[in-house]
Amino acid sequence: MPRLLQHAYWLGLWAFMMAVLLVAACFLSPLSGAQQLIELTVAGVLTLSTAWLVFHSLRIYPTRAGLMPYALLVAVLGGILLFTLDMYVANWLNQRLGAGPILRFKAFRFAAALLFTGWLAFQCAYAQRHKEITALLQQQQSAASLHREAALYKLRQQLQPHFLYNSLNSINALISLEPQAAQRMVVKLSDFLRHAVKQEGQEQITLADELAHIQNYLDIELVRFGHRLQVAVENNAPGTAILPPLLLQPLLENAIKYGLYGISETVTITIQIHQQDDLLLFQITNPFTPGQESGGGTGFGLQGLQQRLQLLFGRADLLHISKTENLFTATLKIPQA
Amino acid sequence: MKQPVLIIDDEPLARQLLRQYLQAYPALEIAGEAGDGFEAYKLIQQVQPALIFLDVQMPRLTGFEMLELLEQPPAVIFTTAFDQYALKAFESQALDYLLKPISPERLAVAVKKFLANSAPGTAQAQPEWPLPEQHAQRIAVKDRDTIRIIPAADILYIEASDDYIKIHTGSGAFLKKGTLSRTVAALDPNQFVRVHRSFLIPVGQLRQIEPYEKDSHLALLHCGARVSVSKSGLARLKEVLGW
Repeated sequence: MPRLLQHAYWLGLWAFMMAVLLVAACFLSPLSGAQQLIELTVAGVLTLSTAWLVFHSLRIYPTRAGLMPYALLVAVLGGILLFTLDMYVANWLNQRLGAGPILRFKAFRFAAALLFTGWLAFQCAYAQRHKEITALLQQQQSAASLHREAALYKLRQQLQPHFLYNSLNSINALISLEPQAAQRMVVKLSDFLRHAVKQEGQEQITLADELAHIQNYLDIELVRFGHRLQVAVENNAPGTAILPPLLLQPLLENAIKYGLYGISETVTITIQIHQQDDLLLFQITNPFTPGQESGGGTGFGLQGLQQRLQLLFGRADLLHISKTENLFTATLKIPQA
Repeated sequence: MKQPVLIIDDEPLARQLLRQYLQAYPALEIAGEAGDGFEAYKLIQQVQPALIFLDVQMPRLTGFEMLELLEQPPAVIFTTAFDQYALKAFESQALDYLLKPISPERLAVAVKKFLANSAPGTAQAQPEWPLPEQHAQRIAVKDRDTIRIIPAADILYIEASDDYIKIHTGSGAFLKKGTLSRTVAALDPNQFVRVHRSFLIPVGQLRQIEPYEKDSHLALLHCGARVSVSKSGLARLKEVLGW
């Protein structure tokens, strides 16, 4: 519909211009009625075709020249073309009718043709520029909203509201049962939050840092799940190895979720870390009961992790998941460049 | 008379907190605690509580899965750390829900609601539990006295029979109370197609379709069973298979 309106707008302008010419010709021209009609028809058809040509040649333009110089060029060339064709065709038709060639108003006709194409080219260039700016603006807006979403996701990942609320509920219970344990838990939770908030803007942290954070997280989970959860960490990598923050936690969360939610007995989760050439390797293993692994969702956390790794390293082979009969193993590789 | 209450949560501290809070209500008596859906199911059969406090995400059997297995579920107050958005889903069906960390004031409101509802002559209609946001990957059924979890991949086809659905698997058929339309809504629509008023089949089980009487077809499944396919069922099947 807007396209149709645009066409109507241009056609209307053109019709208006032709009407003006017609009126002007009636008053100014000493030519015969038949000659006038022929010339006006020829001029009408030619201006319309030139307009079409100008319009389409301005839809794409060489960026090196820039839009406005190019529009000027199109206007001049279009004007010359329009004038030449107009002269040629009108003369030819007049001769056939025996009315003789057009000799008058040549300068006026040339000026009119130039004015017309110039004005048209400017209009087209302006519309083109407007379109470009609108598109650019839209692009920026959608990029900004994408960015906001990503930031929000990261924040949620950092703060883990679900984990936070459950931990607070546990502290609530401990306050009267074991006040000292409640105090310890408050400190651990604060450390966890402080670390999570601090990550903002940091691209790489040391393994020692990340392990301290993870230990905090695990300590809190141990209080929450009591004797049901056991975690064994086996680290053979140097503490100075580096990795992006908050990558391990989704893996551990997953291991705890599927380990604990699938089994009622004590669950042991093992974390093995070692360095192999220029790769830092994490291996996180948890038991699970086949057929029940979907009790708490479908590994969405791991999908998010996979995407993050792709963004960070541009590789899709850094996270590997394997299942044996009743063991679930996630292997994470972090390139040490 | 005291009302028997069960506390169901996989976190021991969360159970203890509720136990502690509930001491303030002499009208309620804590009849037991459970740490997962299986335990809870057994305990509910034994104790027949009037009210349960139920966590949703639990080992082995989730809160919702357990509720679906109960013939006459007690009044339920959910206790969960889910955010408001997720809660909206079951707000309407549960007696009440408590967000963790639970506040004593909010608990008081919920208990009051229960005590008002449990006055004689206010029998509760059987509520229909909300469907989880994600498509179910499994169905929990009662198999005599035990609970069996059927992975969606093991289902050969599902048949409606009166108030029950009959789930056919390689290791036998299992009955579950419920309607076929509800089962359709719970399962992944790209995997399961309702081909007939009374039949739901996994698309992977379809071997071939042959015309049967006017306007109807028969679907031959890999397991050898033949099920009726209605006109609209065929259209749905074609849509999913992209024919």
